[in-house]
Amino acid sequence: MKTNIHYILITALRDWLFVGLIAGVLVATAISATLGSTAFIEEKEMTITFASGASRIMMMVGLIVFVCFHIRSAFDTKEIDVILSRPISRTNLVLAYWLGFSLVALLLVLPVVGILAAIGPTDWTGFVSWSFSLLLEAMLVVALALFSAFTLRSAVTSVLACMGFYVLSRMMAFFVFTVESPMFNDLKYIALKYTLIAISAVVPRLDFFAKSEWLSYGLRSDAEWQMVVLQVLIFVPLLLLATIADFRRKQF
Amino acid sequence: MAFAAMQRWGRSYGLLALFLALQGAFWLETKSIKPEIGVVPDVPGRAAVHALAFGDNEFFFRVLAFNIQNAGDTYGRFTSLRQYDMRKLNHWWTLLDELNPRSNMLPAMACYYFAQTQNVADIRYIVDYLYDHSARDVPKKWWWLMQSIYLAQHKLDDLNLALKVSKPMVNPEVPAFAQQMAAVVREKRGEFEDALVIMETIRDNAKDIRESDLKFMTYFIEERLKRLDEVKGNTTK
Repeated sequence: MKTNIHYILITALRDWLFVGLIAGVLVATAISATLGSTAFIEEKEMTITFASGASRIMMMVGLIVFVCFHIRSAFDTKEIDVILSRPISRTNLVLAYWLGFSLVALLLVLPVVGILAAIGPTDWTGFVSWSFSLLLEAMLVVALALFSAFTLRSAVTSVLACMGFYVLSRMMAFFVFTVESPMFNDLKYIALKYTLIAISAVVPRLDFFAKSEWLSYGLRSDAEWQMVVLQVLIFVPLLLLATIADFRRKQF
Repeated sequence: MAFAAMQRWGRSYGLLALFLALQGAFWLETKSIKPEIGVVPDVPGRAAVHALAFGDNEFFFRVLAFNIQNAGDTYGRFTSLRQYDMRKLNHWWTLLDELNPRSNMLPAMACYYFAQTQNVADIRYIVDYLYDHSARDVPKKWWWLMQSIYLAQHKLDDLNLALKVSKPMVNPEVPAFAQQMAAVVREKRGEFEDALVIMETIRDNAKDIRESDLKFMTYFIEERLKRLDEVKGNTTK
């Protein structure tokens, strides 16, 4: 397991993931600072919101692309076959991959947190919660990308599927909000209503994670971070178990 | 010899030259078509805004607030405030309050910038917005109510509107000097007894009151009592 994790870190370095993403985050922060400085008032809030939002998007997209292409290339070059020829179970291999990519996520979160701390959030408790929540979101996205890459046959398809699922998860609040509209009680839309409810039952609520407002105003209540932790505790094992189940059925 | 060279050139680059010429002609015909840039962008629907926020309302709020701040002043343009559609801006501000009701960016923009419009009648939209924005959380937003009283009273010269926006100010969580504005507005309307009652209410319920405020209120109450006695005396005679 340790060897696998080490290997993932080496490939992340080889693919310039850290350098590329950190450079991207720095550029995004510089642009955010420029835009924020032109704000009528609340310049700091504007800067930190733009910087955090842009960094989060870049990080998640970077992780999805890296994980999906790494796994698909491991399948295509028969690297997985070689690893499985050694005394390692398929379950352990999936877990090692998740831990390795989560470590990569942690190493990416640290500079983002450092840069935002340098800008200076207005609420430090909210900032700490935001930082942990970003890491948890990244760990969930890694599990999602792993599931996508293990179950689909092409790297491009798995990236697209994963991004689609990520966007859907981020929009879940909107769907939940929309379903309650009186329009959906009309017979014409009732099927759509229950379809949306069914989708919302199997899609994680990523809109709970890393809210930029925490950096400026703090958390409204403890329930906000509790829901984040609970969602990760439920959905990451669910995705990993689904990945393991699919991987076990694969013939080489 | 020269003809053969031209033929060779034509075969190699003829099509390229033809499409380059076509592109030139296309440019010539389309160069006068400019994008239509309005001053205040159209207001999107509530559902669209919530969907496009992708779960991060604060981020989308800042993006849209930034757009509103720069509306009319983009692409090297500078637009006079009288050309802004304040009704549309009122809808924008109200919509953005759904994404972030705590920020002071929009009320500040409305009050200190857009209220300078040359169309004085348009200030009503600003006062309405400031009232709606602040009435939800008076202890934290009373400052904007103060500003809206000023705009209604001195810019619009509308004491009825000033009275409406001053009512929520009588709140023990609001500093005493700001609460006193409610009495001042009534006094301006000639409602001396109401002004007196408000002042007494503030004095009796204020949580933390400075000596200067207390002195002013005592003076105000004594003055009004004296004047009321005079009026009663004149009526008896």
